Amino acid sequence: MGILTRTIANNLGENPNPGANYRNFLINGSMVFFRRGQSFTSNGYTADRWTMDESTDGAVTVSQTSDVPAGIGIKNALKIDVTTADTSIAANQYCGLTQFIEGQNMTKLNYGTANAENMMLSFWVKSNKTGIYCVRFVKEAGDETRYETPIEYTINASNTWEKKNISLSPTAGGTALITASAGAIKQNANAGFRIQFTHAVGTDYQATNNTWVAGSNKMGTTNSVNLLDSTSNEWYLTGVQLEMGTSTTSFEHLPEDVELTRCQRYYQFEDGSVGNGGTSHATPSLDFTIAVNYRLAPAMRVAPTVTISGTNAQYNSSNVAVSANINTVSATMWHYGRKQTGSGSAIYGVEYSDIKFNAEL
Amino acid sequence: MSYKYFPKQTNEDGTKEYRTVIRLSDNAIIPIDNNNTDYKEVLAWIDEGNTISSPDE
Repeated sequence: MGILTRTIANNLGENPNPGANYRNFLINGSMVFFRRGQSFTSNGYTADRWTMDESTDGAVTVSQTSDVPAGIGIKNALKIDVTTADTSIAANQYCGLTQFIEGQNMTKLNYGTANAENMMLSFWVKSNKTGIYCVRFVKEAGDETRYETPIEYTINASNTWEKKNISLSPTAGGTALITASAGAIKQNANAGFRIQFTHAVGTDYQATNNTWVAGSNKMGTTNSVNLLDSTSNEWYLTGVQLEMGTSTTSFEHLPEDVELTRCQRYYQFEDGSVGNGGTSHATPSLDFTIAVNYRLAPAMRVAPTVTISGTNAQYNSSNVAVSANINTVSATMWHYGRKQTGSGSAIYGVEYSDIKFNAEL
Repeated sequence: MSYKYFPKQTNEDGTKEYRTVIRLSDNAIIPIDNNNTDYKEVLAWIDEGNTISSPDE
């Protein structure tokens, strides 16, 4: 009976190491996937799902690193290295690392009702520059109102990995914005929520700590440090988890194939070549198509933007380039090539390489 | 930033419609889908008074 009692107790939630249940609203919180490259000096997506936005007079490089906290089972982190300093951040300047979350993945929060739930953000962070930093939380507008709040955290020790926990109340600052109807998160495949780790915040973008307000760009507080004030500065992040509740749990380690599939919903690529060739017609009345049907798996969030960085060619039977005129893209398929009509010689083949499919939020 | 339509595509019923636009800065193919983030930028660009160019037929 003792064994039976303990089994029931464990099933009731006493397991200190719960299995995967997708409790983390964020994707690639362990920074394991950097499928767009290993190092970035421009704004835009860096690690999968994480986008950098730096608008100061300085500059940063974002990269993947194996410098990680010991003993937590994580092998990668994201590193921001200041390469050009800006010691005086202008009022309208900022720097931050963001992840957007689909609204339909946050249904259980019950935002927009009196039953709106608390969230906990936990993460590991390290920097040589100690002091107060901020995380910006954004409830996206959808068809309602955008609400934001910055919340401070402190890096206490230089060059030391520290675990931080932030509690985000739906009534932060004694407000009732999130619990009113306009606080609802739109339940669709568009952005419903956002978190942004900020590293420099001009006065235009400063707000009261831990207090929801309507509006935009509430990235930090007056206490926020300026990471960009020296080229000696570095900032590291990993093990990022945003979950419902009033206490944190250990980082949810999803199998890498599962985490990869979740990333592929937003970004896919083909490094090699795809093509269709060898067909040739020469008749008085042409009406046929040579194209590629590139299947996107898993299905992407929406029909993606397609960028062809390598070969992008259609040739006729004389090996002369002609333009593509067939082009349809959906969340599951890209159909692209040439339909030839009229008379005379037809196209010989099509070839495309280094293709990127972007369906980010 | 500027854009032009990719040539119209033929539907099953024989009608034709634009399905994608080309972002001229990098030749990216952007589907005409209100949930695509890049197409949202196209719509904002149109709201500023701009017009998508006609395609090369």
